[in-house]
Amino acid sequence: MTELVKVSNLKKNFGTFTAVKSINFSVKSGEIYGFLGPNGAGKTTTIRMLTGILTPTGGKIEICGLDLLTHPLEVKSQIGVVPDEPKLYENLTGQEFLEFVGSIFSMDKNEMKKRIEELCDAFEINFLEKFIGDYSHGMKQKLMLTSVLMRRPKVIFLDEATVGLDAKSAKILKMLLRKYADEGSSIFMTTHVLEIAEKMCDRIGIINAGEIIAEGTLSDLRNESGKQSLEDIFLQLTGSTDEEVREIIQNL
Amino acid sequence: MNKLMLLIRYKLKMWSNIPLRRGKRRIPLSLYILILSGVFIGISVPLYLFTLDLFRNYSTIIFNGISLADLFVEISMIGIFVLVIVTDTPAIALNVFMSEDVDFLLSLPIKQSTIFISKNLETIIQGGFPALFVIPLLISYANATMMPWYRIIVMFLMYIIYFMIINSLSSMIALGVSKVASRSGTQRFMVFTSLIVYVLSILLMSTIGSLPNEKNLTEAFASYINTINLPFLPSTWFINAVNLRIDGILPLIITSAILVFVTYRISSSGILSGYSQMKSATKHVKRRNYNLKSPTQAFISKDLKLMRREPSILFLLIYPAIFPFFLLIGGLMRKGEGSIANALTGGILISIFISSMYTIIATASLISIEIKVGEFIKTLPVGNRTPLWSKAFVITGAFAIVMMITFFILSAFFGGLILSVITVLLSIPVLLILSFFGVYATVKWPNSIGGARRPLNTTGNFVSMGIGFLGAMIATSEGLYFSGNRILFSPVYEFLIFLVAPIVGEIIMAFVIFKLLSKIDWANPYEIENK
Repeated sequence: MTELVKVSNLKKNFGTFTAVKSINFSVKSGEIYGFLGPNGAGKTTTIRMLTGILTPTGGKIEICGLDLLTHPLEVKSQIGVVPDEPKLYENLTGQEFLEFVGSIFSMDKNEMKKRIEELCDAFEINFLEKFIGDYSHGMKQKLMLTSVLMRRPKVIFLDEATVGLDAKSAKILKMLLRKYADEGSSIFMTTHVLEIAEKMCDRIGIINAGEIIAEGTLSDLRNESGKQSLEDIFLQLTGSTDEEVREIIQNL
Repeated sequence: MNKLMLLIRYKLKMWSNIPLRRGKRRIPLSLYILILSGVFIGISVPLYLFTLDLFRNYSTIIFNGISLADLFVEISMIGIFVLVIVTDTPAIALNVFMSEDVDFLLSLPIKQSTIFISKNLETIIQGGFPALFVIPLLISYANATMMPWYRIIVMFLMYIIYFMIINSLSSMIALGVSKVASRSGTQRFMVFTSLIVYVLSILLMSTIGSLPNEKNLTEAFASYINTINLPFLPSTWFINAVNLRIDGILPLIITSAILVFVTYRISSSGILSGYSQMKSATKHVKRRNYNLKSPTQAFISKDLKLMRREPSILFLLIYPAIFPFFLLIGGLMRKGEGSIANALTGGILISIFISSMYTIIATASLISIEIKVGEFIKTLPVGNRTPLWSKAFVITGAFAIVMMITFFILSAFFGGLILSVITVLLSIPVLLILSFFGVYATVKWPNSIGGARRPLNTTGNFVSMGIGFLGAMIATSEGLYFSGNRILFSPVYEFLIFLVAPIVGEIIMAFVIFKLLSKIDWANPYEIENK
């Protein structure tokens, strides 16, 4: 399987603070990669660098075989990004926003129309004629997902994408991502819901204080840590134990 | 009461914290009050002096048993009634019934009525400012009519009661609005109300200015008497109350008491009945037609839509269209030799001047909308400069079209078509350069919490005014040269000063602005601000 995302010695400094310390990983075609870590570990900084939002201080990012730094537009035309908090044009309607995205990616009109209708049916989107400024968080998230999934990009980055979605939509999204991965796409996702990562991800990377402290399949991580659940593995690797958590609860 | 004071105290704290979020020192509340008092005095004193003579003249003119001074106060009262209803209603709807911060307050052990009163007071402080400007008018009226002190006290008490009637009505309408209108629609309407108020004020001033002598005044106001001085209007009750008439004092107090009580009861509980953030979402997905364009066209089309739907930008676009007409009204009133021709030239030049000044702010507003969704834009396969060029073209084009339409209408009535076309064509390059400066200004001096309405910080506003003024001088100088109005005796100097120098200035300005633009990351202004 080809590596659609390849990260080597990726580093990001904000002044004297190093948010990401020379990390290395790759995501293969057909793989769902879960990127986990506690708050402030460097997950969002990494995803922002991978999607061309933030320039790295050092290192190399290759997506679909192209260097992101030297071929940013070519890379961006092959990826899709769903942020944790979609900030969209409040004075555009949902339909106008989709038209805008479709135009930027030079989509085929009939193909786009067909894909939007399918996704609207799946996510129960019936508010495209309304202004985005009147949408709830979940509605904005559904619109953002539609704008990405309608293009079927080769690589999809999702930052806490299930937050704000209702149970049915979240389930559909999870199944759809699996389907896309099975058809050859690469999915890179961050989540705090370890259950989702446990069920969905083929491989998991755990980042803490800007460093990847563990990486592999769930069974690799289980073997390394000697723990069964991802929650226990995560807590152990990030420096917290069950006992410590219990003690905190008792003292509260 | 304690909780009400607590809510008000924390709101004031939030307001005074705004500079802190911009990385500046906290402004003490006393300084805020001092600044507002300064603004109030700065406007009130000239208003007082202007209306004092007016009231002295008007108080001697009696028509159907009522003086014109009284009628003028009545007109002002009707004006303030409309003004406060128009500005306060959307503000109350957004701030009281559609506010996200009310949702949080409702989850706390605070009475709904306390929340309602605190939010209402907050809105009055923000939106009721225009009502204060009646005060110098009333003082001037009292002085001109030599009112005894006790009647002055009654007058101000009655004004407070009158304001309570307006505020109660606003609250009731706002409650209704919150049930039928969307939040974004109400927000857009609120900005438009400022325009309505502005146009009404200008019209009122023009009307006053267009009545040159007392005889005309008497005749003109005579026709108003039957329509304005109606017994069921609160403005009539007010003037009767000021004259210590019981048919004024009683209806004013009773109506105010009933309205305040009803509003307090209904609106307090109305907060809990909530509002719908999304109205009438369609049950079935419609078969839609999608219009796809090239990436550049998509940006231009999107920016056009955003510009059309951002009232603060529309507001700026309307100024160059209406000012020439006000100048022409003045020219028509004077009816002297050459006054219309001069007014026409003046109108065209002032329109170019205003367009140049506002191009920077309008571009900055549009850029600030883009910056808000900056991360999304950065994930798109488009160059960094595509969104920037699109905005500069949209804003320049919009101002040029507004000027063209205005000048064509003017030339249809008063001639001067060639001058209009030449001046518009000459001003387009200046507008384009200025709109690029608008992009630079938004990045260099951003106001991260100002949104599209206040995209620049104080420094940015001052610098933009300076650059806008320079651009305006260049554009108007060129226009003036082609207008044929000779200022200097020597045609050579005229050519050098009003044509060559502005063109050279234009080239230098373009060079400097493009040089500055090449050094900035326009999509990351707030990161720069936070460093």
